Amino acid sequence: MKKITILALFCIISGCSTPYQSGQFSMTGGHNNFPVTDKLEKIIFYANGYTDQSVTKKYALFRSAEYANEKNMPYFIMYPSLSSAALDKKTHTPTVGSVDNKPAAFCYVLLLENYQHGAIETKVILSQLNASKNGGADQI
Amino acid sequence: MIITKMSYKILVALLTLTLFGCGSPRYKFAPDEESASIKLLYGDQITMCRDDQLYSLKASDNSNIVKVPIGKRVSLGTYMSYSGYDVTYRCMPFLSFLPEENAKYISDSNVINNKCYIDLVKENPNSNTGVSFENSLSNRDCYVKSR
Repeated sequence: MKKITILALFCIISGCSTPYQSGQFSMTGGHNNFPVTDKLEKIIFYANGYTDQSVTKKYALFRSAEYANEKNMPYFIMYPSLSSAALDKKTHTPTVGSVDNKPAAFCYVLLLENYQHGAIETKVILSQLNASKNGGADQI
Repeated sequence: MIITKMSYKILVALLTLTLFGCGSPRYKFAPDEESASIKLLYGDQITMCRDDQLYSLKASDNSNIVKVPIGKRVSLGTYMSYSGYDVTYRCMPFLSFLPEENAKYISDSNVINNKCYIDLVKENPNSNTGVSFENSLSNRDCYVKSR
Protein backbone atom coordinates (compact mmCIF):
# COMPACT_ATOMS: atom_id res chain seq x y z
CA MET A 1 0.00 0.00 0.00
CA LYS A 2 2.89 2.28 0.90
CA LYS A 3 4.53 1.53 -2.46
CA ILE A 4 1.32 2.38 -4.34
CA THR A 5 1.00 5.67 -2.47
CA ILE A 6 4.62 6.58 -3.22
CA LEU A 7 4.14 5.65 -6.90
CA ALA A 8 0.92 7.68 -7.11
CA LEU A 9 2.63 10.68 -5.49
CA PHE A 10 5.58 10.33 -7.89
CA CYS A 11 3.17 10.28 -10.83
CA ILE A 12 1.35 13.39 -9.61
CA ILE A 13 4.62 15.26 -9.08
CA SER A 14 6.43 14.15 -12.25
CA GLY A 15 3.45 13.78 -14.59
CA CYS A 16 3.11 10.23 -15.90
CA SER A 17 1.21 11.01 -19.09
CA THR A 18 2.80 9.74 -22.30
CA PRO A 19 5.05 12.35 -23.92
CA TYR A 20 5.32 12.68 -27.71
CA GLN A 21 7.80 9.85 -28.40
CA SER A 22 8.44 6.77 -30.51
CA GLY A 23 7.84 3.19 -29.45
CA GLN A 24 4.78 1.02 -28.85
CA PHE A 25 6.56 -1.09 -26.30
CA SER A 26 8.00 1.73 -24.24
CA MET A 27 6.68 1.67 -20.67
CA THR A 28 4.80 4.90 -21.28
CA GLY A 29 3.70 4.41 -24.93
CA GLY A 30 4.62 6.22 -28.14
CA HIS A 31 4.05 6.18 -31.88
CA ASN A 32 4.52 3.54 -34.58
CA ASN A 33 4.14 3.22 -38.38
CA PHE A 34 2.94 0.22 -40.37
CA PRO A 35 3.00 0.12 -44.20
CA VAL A 36 -0.40 -0.91 -45.63
CA THR A 37 0.26 -0.48 -49.36
CA ASP A 38 2.89 1.44 -51.36
CA LYS A 39 0.64 4.48 -50.97
CA LEU A 40 -0.94 4.05 -47.54
CA GLU A 41 0.67 4.00 -44.08
CA LYS A 42 -0.97 3.26 -40.74
CA ILE A 43 0.09 5.67 -37.98
CA ILE A 44 -0.73 4.81 -34.38
CA PHE A 45 0.00 6.48 -31.06
CA TYR A 46 -0.29 4.42 -27.88
CA ALA A 47 -0.69 6.28 -24.60
CA ASN A 48 -0.98 5.31 -20.96
CA GLY A 49 -3.87 5.81 -18.56
CA TYR A 50 -2.67 9.28 -17.56
CA THR A 51 -3.01 10.64 -21.10
CA ASP A 52 -6.18 12.30 -22.32
CA GLN A 53 -7.84 10.92 -25.49
CA SER A 54 -7.74 14.35 -27.17
CA VAL A 55 -3.98 14.57 -26.53
CA THR A 56 -3.49 11.08 -27.94
CA LYS A 57 -5.35 12.09 -31.13
CA LYS A 58 -3.19 15.20 -31.43
CA TYR A 59 0.00 13.13 -31.11
CA ALA A 60 -1.16 10.77 -33.88
CA LEU A 61 -1.79 13.86 -36.04
CA PHE A 62 1.70 15.20 -35.21
CA ARG A 63 3.27 11.87 -36.14
CA SER A 64 1.36 11.84 -39.45
CA ALA A 65 2.79 15.27 -40.29
CA GLU A 66 6.30 14.19 -39.27
CA TYR A 67 5.98 11.11 -41.48
CA ALA A 68 4.87 13.30 -44.43
CA ASN A 69 7.80 15.64 -43.77
CA GLU A 70 10.26 12.72 -43.68
CA LYS A 71 9.02 11.78 -47.17
CA ASN A 72 9.17 15.45 -48.33
CA MET A 73 5.44 15.55 -48.96
CA PRO A 74 3.72 18.93 -48.41
CA TYR A 75 0.21 17.47 -47.93
CA PHE A 76 -1.40 14.36 -46.53
CA ILE A 77 -4.86 12.86 -46.21
CA MET A 78 -6.05 10.88 -43.20
CA TYR A 79 -8.60 8.04 -43.32
CA PRO A 80 -10.29 6.61 -40.19
CA SER A 81 -10.34 2.99 -41.46
CA LEU A 82 -9.21 0.80 -44.34
CA SER A 83 -12.72 0.72 -45.82
CA SER A 84 -12.86 4.53 -45.55
CA ALA A 85 -9.59 4.71 -47.48
CA ALA A 86 -11.11 2.44 -50.13
CA LEU A 87 -14.17 4.70 -50.37
CA ASP A 88 -12.08 7.94 -50.14
CA LYS A 89 -13.93 9.10 -46.99
CA LYS A 90 -11.42 11.44 -45.36
CA THR A 91 -11.09 12.64 -41.78
CA HIS A 92 -9.28 15.53 -40.08
CA THR A 93 -8.81 13.78 -36.74
CA PRO A 94 -7.34 10.35 -35.99
CA THR A 95 -9.66 7.69 -34.55
CA VAL A 96 -9.20 6.90 -30.86
CA GLY A 97 -9.95 3.74 -28.94
CA SER A 98 -9.37 2.92 -25.31
CA VAL A 99 -8.75 -0.28 -23.38
CA ASP A 100 -8.43 -0.19 -19.59
CA ASN A 101 -8.44 3.62 -19.84
CA LYS A 102 -5.29 3.52 -22.01
CA PRO A 103 -6.05 5.35 -25.28
CA ALA A 104 -4.58 4.61 -28.70
CA ALA A 105 -5.19 6.87 -31.69
CA PHE A 106 -4.66 5.77 -35.27
CA CYS A 107 -5.23 6.79 -38.88
CA TYR A 108 -4.31 5.64 -42.37
CA VAL A 109 -2.22 8.28 -44.15
CA LEU A 110 -1.94 9.01 -47.86
CA LEU A 111 0.89 11.40 -48.83
CA LEU A 112 0.36 14.01 -51.53
CA GLU A 113 2.66 16.21 -53.61
CA ASN A 114 -0.18 18.55 -54.57
CA TYR A 115 -3.22 19.80 -52.66
CA GLN A 116 -6.45 17.84 -52.95
CA HIS A 117 -9.79 18.60 -51.32
CA GLY A 118 -9.65 17.50 -47.68
CA ALA A 119 -5.86 17.37 -47.54
CA ILE A 120 -3.92 18.63 -44.51
CA GLU A 121 -0.87 20.86 -44.98
CA THR A 122 2.19 19.21 -43.45
CA LYS A 123 3.93 22.44 -42.40
CA VAL A 124 0.84 23.75 -40.59
CA ILE A 125 0.73 20.69 -38.30
CA LEU A 126 4.52 20.75 -37.85
CA SER A 127 4.33 24.38 -36.72
CA GLN A 128 1.75 23.31 -34.10
CA LEU A 129 4.11 20.55 -32.99
CA ASN A 130 7.02 23.00 -32.71
CA ALA A 131 4.88 25.47 -30.79
CA SER A 132 3.99 22.68 -28.36
CA LYS A 133 7.65 21.70 -27.97
CA ASN A 134 8.58 25.32 -27.29
CA GLY A 135 6.15 25.63 -24.44
CA GLY A 136 3.04 26.90 -26.19
CA ALA A 137 -0.48 26.49 -24.89
CA ASP A 138 -0.43 22.81 -25.88
CA GLN A 139 2.93 22.02 -24.33
CA ILE A 140 4.09 18.41 -24.79
CA MET B 1 -0.39 -22.53 -3.57
CA ILE B 2 1.60 -20.56 -6.15
CA ILE B 3 1.64 -23.61 -8.45
CA THR B 4 -2.14 -23.98 -8.04
CA LYS B 5 -2.67 -20.33 -8.95
CA MET B 6 -0.34 -20.66 -11.95
CA SER B 7 -2.11 -23.82 -13.13
CA TYR B 8 -5.47 -22.08 -12.82
CA LYS B 9 -4.25 -19.13 -14.90
CA ILE B 10 -2.84 -21.45 -17.56
CA LEU B 11 -6.10 -23.42 -17.63
CA VAL B 12 -8.16 -20.23 -18.01
CA ALA B 13 -5.83 -19.03 -20.78
CA LEU B 14 -6.08 -22.35 -22.62
CA LEU B 15 -9.87 -22.42 -22.29
CA THR B 16 -10.10 -18.85 -23.56
CA LEU B 17 -7.85 -19.60 -26.52
CA THR B 18 -9.95 -22.67 -27.35
CA LEU B 19 -13.19 -20.68 -27.05
CA PHE B 20 -11.79 -18.00 -29.36
CA GLY B 21 -10.86 -20.62 -31.93
CA CYS B 22 -7.10 -20.42 -31.43
CA GLY B 23 -6.89 -24.18 -31.05
CA SER B 24 -8.63 -24.77 -34.39
CA PRO B 25 -7.02 -27.13 -36.91
CA ARG B 26 -5.05 -25.65 -39.79
CA TYR B 27 -7.08 -25.53 -43.04
CA LYS B 28 -5.66 -28.05 -45.52
CA PHE B 29 -5.84 -27.05 -49.17
CA ALA B 30 -6.54 -29.73 -51.76
CA PRO B 31 -3.65 -30.08 -54.29
CA ASP B 32 -5.53 -28.17 -57.02
CA GLU B 33 -7.61 -25.90 -54.78
CA GLU B 34 -7.48 -22.21 -55.82
CA SER B 35 -6.89 -19.51 -53.24
CA ALA B 36 -6.77 -15.78 -52.54
CA SER B 37 -4.33 -14.08 -50.21
CA ILE B 38 -4.83 -11.79 -47.21
CA LYS B 39 -2.13 -9.49 -45.81
CA LEU B 40 -2.68 -9.24 -42.06
CA LEU B 41 -1.65 -5.98 -40.39
CA TYR B 42 -2.03 -7.50 -36.91
CA GLY B 43 -0.06 -10.74 -36.95
CA ASP B 44 0.44 -13.92 -38.91
CA GLN B 45 -2.64 -15.94 -38.00
CA ILE B 46 -6.40 -15.64 -38.38
CA THR B 47 -9.40 -17.85 -37.61
CA MET B 48 -11.65 -18.85 -40.50
CA CYS B 49 -15.16 -20.30 -40.29
CA ARG B 50 -16.25 -22.23 -43.39
CA ASP B 51 -19.00 -24.87 -43.67
CA ASP B 52 -19.74 -24.48 -39.92
CA GLN B 53 -16.16 -25.43 -39.01
CA LEU B 54 -13.43 -23.32 -37.47
CA TYR B 55 -9.96 -23.41 -39.01
CA SER B 56 -6.79 -21.49 -38.44
CA LEU B 57 -5.01 -19.85 -41.36
CA LYS B 58 -1.36 -19.22 -40.67
CA ALA B 59 1.22 -17.41 -42.77
CA SER B 60 3.95 -19.59 -44.16
CA ASP B 61 7.60 -18.50 -43.74
CA ASN B 62 8.04 -15.18 -41.92
CA SER B 63 5.44 -13.21 -43.86
CA ASN B 64 2.12 -11.83 -42.68
CA ILE B 65 0.22 -13.15 -45.71
CA VAL B 66 -2.24 -16.03 -45.35
CA LYS B 67 -3.97 -18.02 -48.09
CA VAL B 68 -7.76 -18.35 -48.02
CA PRO B 69 -9.84 -20.84 -50.06
CA ILE B 70 -12.17 -19.39 -52.71
CA GLY B 71 -15.58 -20.50 -53.99
CA LYS B 72 -17.58 -20.05 -50.76
CA ARG B 73 -18.27 -17.21 -48.36
CA VAL B 74 -15.95 -17.41 -45.36
CA SER B 75 -16.06 -15.70 -41.96
CA LEU B 76 -12.78 -14.38 -40.56
CA GLY B 77 -12.07 -13.55 -36.94
CA THR B 78 -9.03 -12.30 -35.09
CA TYR B 79 -8.25 -12.81 -31.44
CA MET B 80 -7.42 -9.51 -29.71
CA SER B 81 -5.94 -9.32 -26.23
CA TYR B 82 -4.95 -6.28 -24.16
CA SER B 83 -3.30 -6.43 -20.77
CA GLY B 84 -4.31 -3.84 -18.21
CA TYR B 85 -2.83 -3.20 -14.79
CA ASP B 86 -4.55 -6.17 -13.18
CA VAL B 87 -6.78 -7.52 -15.91
CA THR B 88 -6.64 -8.82 -19.49
CA TYR B 89 -9.29 -7.85 -22.03
CA ARG B 90 -10.07 -10.23 -24.89
CA CYS B 91 -12.37 -10.03 -27.89
CA MET B 92 -12.76 -11.61 -31.28
CA PRO B 93 -14.44 -9.54 -33.99
CA PHE B 94 -15.61 -11.34 -37.16
CA LEU B 95 -16.52 -10.40 -40.73
CA SER B 96 -17.44 -12.44 -43.76
CA PHE B 97 -16.65 -12.08 -47.46
CA LEU B 98 -16.49 -14.05 -50.68
CA PRO B 99 -12.82 -14.47 -51.69
CA GLU B 100 -12.10 -14.26 -55.42
CA GLU B 101 -9.50 -16.35 -57.20
CA ASN B 102 -5.97 -14.88 -57.00
CA ALA B 103 -7.27 -11.66 -55.44
CA LYS B 104 -5.17 -9.92 -52.79
CA TYR B 105 -6.82 -8.56 -49.65
CA ILE B 106 -5.62 -6.55 -46.64
CA SER B 107 -7.13 -6.95 -43.17
CA ASP B 108 -6.65 -4.86 -40.04
CA SER B 109 -8.17 -4.80 -36.55
CA ASN B 110 -8.62 -1.88 -34.17
CA VAL B 111 -10.34 -0.83 -30.96
CA ILE B 112 -12.76 2.05 -31.52
CA ASN B 113 -14.87 3.41 -28.65
CA ASN B 114 -14.12 0.33 -26.53
CA LYS B 115 -15.28 -2.05 -29.26
CA CYS B 116 -13.15 -4.42 -31.32
CA TYR B 117 -13.35 -4.12 -35.10
CA ILE B 118 -11.94 -6.07 -38.00
CA ASP B 119 -11.80 -4.61 -41.51
CA LEU B 120 -10.92 -5.98 -44.94
CA VAL B 121 -10.25 -4.31 -48.29
CA LYS B 122 -9.03 -5.49 -51.66
CA GLU B 123 -5.61 -4.44 -52.94
CA ASN B 124 -5.90 -2.29 -56.04
CA PRO B 125 -2.67 -0.64 -57.27
CA ASN B 126 -4.70 1.46 -59.73
CA SER B 127 -6.75 3.22 -57.05
CA ASN B 128 -5.69 6.46 -55.34
CA THR B 129 -4.99 4.76 -52.01
CA GLY B 130 -3.94 1.34 -53.31
CA VAL B 131 -7.07 -0.31 -51.93
CA SER B 132 -10.67 -0.70 -53.05
CA PHE B 133 -13.84 -1.52 -51.13
CA GLU B 134 -14.73 -5.21 -50.90
CA ASN B 135 -18.33 -5.38 -52.10
CA SER B 136 -19.02 -8.82 -50.62
CA LEU B 137 -18.07 -7.65 -47.10
CA SER B 138 -20.71 -8.55 -44.50
CA ASN B 139 -21.25 -9.75 -40.92
CA ARG B 140 -20.24 -13.19 -39.68
CA ASP B 141 -22.50 -15.83 -41.18
CA CYS B 142 -20.84 -19.07 -40.07
CA TYR B 143 -21.19 -20.67 -36.64
CA VAL B 144 -19.85 -23.93 -35.31
CA LYS B 145 -22.59 -26.44 -34.58
CA SER B 146 -22.35 -28.37 -31.33
CA ARG B 147 -24.42 -31.40 -30.39
